Amino acid sequence: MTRSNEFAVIGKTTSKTDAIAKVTGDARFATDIYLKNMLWARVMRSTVAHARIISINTEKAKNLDGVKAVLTSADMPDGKYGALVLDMGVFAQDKVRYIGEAVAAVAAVDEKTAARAVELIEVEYEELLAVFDPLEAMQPEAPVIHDDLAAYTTLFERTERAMTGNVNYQSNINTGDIEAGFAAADFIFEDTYEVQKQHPSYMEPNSTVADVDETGRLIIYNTTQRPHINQAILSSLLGIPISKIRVMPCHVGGGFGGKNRTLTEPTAAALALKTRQPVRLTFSHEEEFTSATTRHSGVLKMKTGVKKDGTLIASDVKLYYDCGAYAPTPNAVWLGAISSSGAYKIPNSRVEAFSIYTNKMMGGAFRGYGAPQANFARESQMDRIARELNIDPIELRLKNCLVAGDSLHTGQKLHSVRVKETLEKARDMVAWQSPKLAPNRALGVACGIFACGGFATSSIVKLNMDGTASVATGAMDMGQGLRTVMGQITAEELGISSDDVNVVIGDTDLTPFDVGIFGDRGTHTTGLAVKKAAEDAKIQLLEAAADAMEVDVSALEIKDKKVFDKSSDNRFLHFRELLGGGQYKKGGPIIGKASINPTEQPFDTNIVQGAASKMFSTYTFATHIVETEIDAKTGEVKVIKATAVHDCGTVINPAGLKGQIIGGLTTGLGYALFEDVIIEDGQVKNPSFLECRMPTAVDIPEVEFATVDEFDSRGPFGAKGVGNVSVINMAPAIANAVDAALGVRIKSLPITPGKILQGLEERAN
Amino acid sequence: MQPLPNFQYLEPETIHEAAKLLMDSGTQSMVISGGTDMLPSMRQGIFSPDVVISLQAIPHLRDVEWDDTEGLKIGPLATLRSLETNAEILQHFPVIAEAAHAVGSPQLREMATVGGNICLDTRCYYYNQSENWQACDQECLKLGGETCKAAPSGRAKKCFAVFSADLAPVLVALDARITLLSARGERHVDLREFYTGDGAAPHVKAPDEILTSVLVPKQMAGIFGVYQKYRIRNSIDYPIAGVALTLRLNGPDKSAKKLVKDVCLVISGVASKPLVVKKIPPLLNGKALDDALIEEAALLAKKAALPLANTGGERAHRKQMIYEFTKKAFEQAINNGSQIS
Amino acid sequence: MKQPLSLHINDEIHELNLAPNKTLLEVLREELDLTGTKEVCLLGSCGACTVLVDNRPMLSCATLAVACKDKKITTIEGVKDGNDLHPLQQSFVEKGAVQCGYCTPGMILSGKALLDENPNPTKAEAAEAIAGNLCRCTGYAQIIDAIVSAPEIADSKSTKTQHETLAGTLDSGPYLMPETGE
Ligand SMILES: Cc1cc2nc3c(=O)[nH]c(=O)nc-3n(C[C@H](O)[C@H](O)[C@H](O)COP(=O)(O)OP(=O)(O)OC[C@H]3O[C@@H](n4cnc5c(N)ncnc54)[C@H](O)[C@@H]3O)c2cc1C
Ligand code: FES
Ligand code: FES
Repeated sequence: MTRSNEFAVIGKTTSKTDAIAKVTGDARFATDIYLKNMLWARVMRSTVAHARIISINTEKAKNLDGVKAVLTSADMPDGKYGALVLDMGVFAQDKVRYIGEAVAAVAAVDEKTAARAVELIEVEYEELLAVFDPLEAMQPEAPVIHDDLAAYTTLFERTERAMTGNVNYQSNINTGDIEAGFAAADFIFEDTYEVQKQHPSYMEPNSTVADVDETGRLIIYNTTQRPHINQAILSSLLGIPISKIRVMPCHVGGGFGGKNRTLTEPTAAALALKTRQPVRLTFSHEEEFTSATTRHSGVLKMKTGVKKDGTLIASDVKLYYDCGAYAPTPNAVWLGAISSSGAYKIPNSRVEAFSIYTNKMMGGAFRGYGAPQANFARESQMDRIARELNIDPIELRLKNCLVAGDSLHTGQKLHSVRVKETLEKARDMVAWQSPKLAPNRALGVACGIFACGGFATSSIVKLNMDGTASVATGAMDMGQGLRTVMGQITAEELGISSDDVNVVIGDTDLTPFDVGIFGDRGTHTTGLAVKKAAEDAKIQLLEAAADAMEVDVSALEIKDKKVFDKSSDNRFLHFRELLGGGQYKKGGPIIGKASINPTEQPFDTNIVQGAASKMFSTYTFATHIVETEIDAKTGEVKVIKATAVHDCGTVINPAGLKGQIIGGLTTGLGYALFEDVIIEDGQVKNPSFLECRMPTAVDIPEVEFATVDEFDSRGPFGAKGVGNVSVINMAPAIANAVDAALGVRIKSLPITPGKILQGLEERAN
Repeated sequence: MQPLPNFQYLEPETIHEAAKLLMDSGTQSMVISGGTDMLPSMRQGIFSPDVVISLQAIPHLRDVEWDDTEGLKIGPLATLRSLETNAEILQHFPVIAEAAHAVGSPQLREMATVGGNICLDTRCYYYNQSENWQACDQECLKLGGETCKAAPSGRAKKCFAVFSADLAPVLVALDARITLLSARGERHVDLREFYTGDGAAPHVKAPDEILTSVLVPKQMAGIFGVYQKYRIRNSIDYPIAGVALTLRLNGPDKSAKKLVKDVCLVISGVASKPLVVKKIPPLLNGKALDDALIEEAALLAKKAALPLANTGGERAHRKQMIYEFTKKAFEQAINNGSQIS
Repeated sequence: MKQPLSLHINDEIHELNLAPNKTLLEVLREELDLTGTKEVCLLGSCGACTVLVDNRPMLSCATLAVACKDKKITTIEGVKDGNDLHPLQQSFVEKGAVQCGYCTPGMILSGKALLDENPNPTKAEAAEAIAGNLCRCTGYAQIIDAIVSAPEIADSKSTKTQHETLAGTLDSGPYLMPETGE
């Protein structure tokens, strides 16, 4: 079904348009912006986990030579911000809720002075009891972290538990008849899983340079996944109209969801407005680990009813995601809820999903958003079921997996599902017979589902006089290759080469709205808007040609930057002939535009309560099989090889796809084995790349990958996403391999040698 | 970028001049070699010397040479990378190259020196942090606080920061001797006596002393040596458990069982110094290795290891790694037996 | 406190006046606007700040600028050969080894140090050479590929100038000038 051979540009590797600037060191990132008279900002941060602020004295700091401004919440308009729960001020308001929370900020002539000034700020706290465990935080007697929670503005339908106690978000899925389902089950499996915090670890720190131009407009150079939302948040927080704010993102040194945030922008902007000088705020490496966001840690309870033959019949899941002291993206647990049924058809399913405040650094978006946690639970338990029922793990999965036409437990009917084919192909690629290969070698399998696409975006395609084109979208490229893919889509639609397309992204003065790049929406949703905008431009071009050639539009076709009269081979006009005049044609220059806000297949509100979004456009699937070597003496796990098969629809850029799959897999490997943000009494013990260990080049397995043929009719040229689902299978696949090799089931991440040895010991006793 | 604290930088051209400068500038001066430990620590505010004295302009401090009467002489500024490829080392003490290769990352090994590795500061989650981080809790003992936060009781008056170098334990196992020079004179110290076991003051080098040379005695040449390192990733990470073993296996002739001689086992990353497991030589010297003896030795090493939760990894597992590494090291020794005199 | 210092960077001598507490990284980025070298952890643990000092890869965040006075420094800005991309740079572009690009300068310098010493490295040797450079985006496979494929590109002399690589297809011929008024 892959149609890539029908395309001229789609499906061919196109070198990334920004790669040259990046290999020469010419690419400017936000951290590379140094403006004349630029001031340096530093943030003063809470040293306690939970406290009422009695007083803040900034006098000494203000009087220090070289200090140009000091701000606290008293200097800011009252507002709070957030994506779904508006719960956070730019600076702590009345209370601090985690170690590392911003209390005040300073702008000074150099970094040293700024740092010195921060030391001079005196804060008096009245310490309050803190709570660090999400389950404890749910108890009625737990300290309340946000006192007036119920009064906060929220942008989702509140269920009964939402915005009570320390629960900031809650959603439910109820499909079928859960009691009857369990009654009909022959076996019931019940497990509790625990997952740790993982830091996104983009290499480039959060950074903003804010400038005020000669007209008084605020100019923001930053590193972000969502410039237009940044602009809107700055407008509402600072009380200035959007027309007076220009967000101009630079090259982004990685985001992975972690930069779907507004962290440095408001502080830098407020300081710049106050001083009328450019202000730079870059997070220190430590601040990245104390005051940015991580993947949510949490506890997952999963109870599953199975028939003797392995048919899944009932599932009862409770998800408790720890979102830390504020909830910039509490709906991670909603994505977790969706993914918690796995890529399976389970007729009777109940999910209760909670996002819970604790006095810790914030949980936020990170590649795989909510799903790696849930998939670890689901796919670990699937293997346990397979083992107990003595069914081959792949067989069990094949027996239960979703196929096109099935409904997900949310009630959404699925139109594009090839998980079965990913399982079969992966099985064949590794010549799977049984998971155990030798006493210390085993295979582990996991498959998974991830929600793809949705939310508002738009695009403009402008044709130039010579037949080249410019496409503009407010979406961002954090390295995943959005620029290249949007260029390819535009080129394909217009019948020109991708070299002929200039892609403009991000800059809010030049691009139309996009909500931000997350949730596999880049290629899919932004891609769709770009395709439609290009289509619109093409239609206008054809209309202009029809006028000029005095034929009907239907008589025309486009080839090689020419418009042909189909009835006669030698009647044609060059694009450049048309477009020269076209700039002044009736109805204005040729500018195609389109916006998208997908609404197809909304969730069934009888089944789903408290959903943080109305729908997702489609779903992507993948199966990963790892071959591992496990030393029973030392507990060390070595992943020798990973085989990945993806259902991502049409492949638009093969080299980009490879990078997305292997990159995701490596992040998944880190999640499975090494990475953990360790928090002790609210303080991060290992705030650095040295101690929060992302895999290095000598830690990675050999990777073989493939895709299955699929054409998603809702995506641009049949494409879906790939960036997220590539992360979610490694942890369960490795846990399954460990179990296959040693008979030790690890139910908490990371899978450490110590846990394996302990498991072996327990088994021996 | 947050700048380093201010200091005066000096580059003397002779070792005596360096020693004099060090003495004259008092306790607030430090010697810098590769800087791989010192500069990151200075950035965190752990050290803030007024004077930094570089040894790089002093000739011959990088030299590595074999001396037929004394043995292998390693200059303090020899980089770990230079040890990895040095012909004399590969010939006489390949285990030194092995241990050097196990350090950090390629860039770090280009910069890191032998002197710095030997004088490496101890490490701890509660110590290797920024001043901002320290401000969130009581100060750690090593930074002037009252108690050691890493101690199991949380109340100890002794510092439990961990000695986490790879090369030093091997040099201890090879009976290396170092020369310390100050304006007051020169002294030779057995490397195994150099370390105190006190995390707060890990070695006996006075602040005005410079490590000027490392000697691995000639008698050690040809001894079997092996170094095993446990770290979480295969690169960058410090050791969180390490075992260095040296020994000879001697037999009257080829066929007879070989007897252990001159055995030394040093563990690293699990105590405040490279720890010589003292009970091993009496247990093994003069005996033929067998499974039971190796098991006993491994248990002794495991017992000597006292890892705490103040570095990466897990305590029980790190102890277990010492046990497994010890066994593996002896097994390797036996397998290499034919080459050992 | 400042003292005069001349630094030899990318075949140019820079006469500077510097305080001794400046790291090489600070001088490159903040004094000389050579921002290709990246600042990430400042703890020696990421490799983003890698430069070549006398052709060996070193961490500029843990190197004092004053200690470099007689040394030859190469940063990413000095890897290009005039206007031509170095084969390794070209290889990074072709093999899809660049995603966000933040690790890329350090990766290229570590890779170059390897290739200068060992012109035909294996994949394992390439992985070892970049084992001190973290990358969160790529999972390294394409970077390793790019390093081992660089010699081929050098042989085929297919490196492009930066300008050529950037050029699109120019559709020559006259534009039909816009009609004026209607
Ligand atoms: C990310 C990272 C990972 C690391 N991983 C490892 C690892 O895996 N294994 C390992 O062993 N080490 C590791 N290290 C530590 C360090 O790089 C090495 O131990 C290195 O050998 C230290 O040497 P140096 O020359 O850089 O020391 P410097 O930083 O120059 O000095 C270290 C200390 O020794 C003193 N000193 C240095 N030379 C002399 C001398 N001649 N006389 C007197 N005092 C002297 C200094 O004053 C300072 O106190 C790591 C470091 C980092 C940053
Ligand atoms: S910035 Fe130098 S190693 Fe990370
Ligand atoms: S390409 Fe983004 S960190 Fe390597």
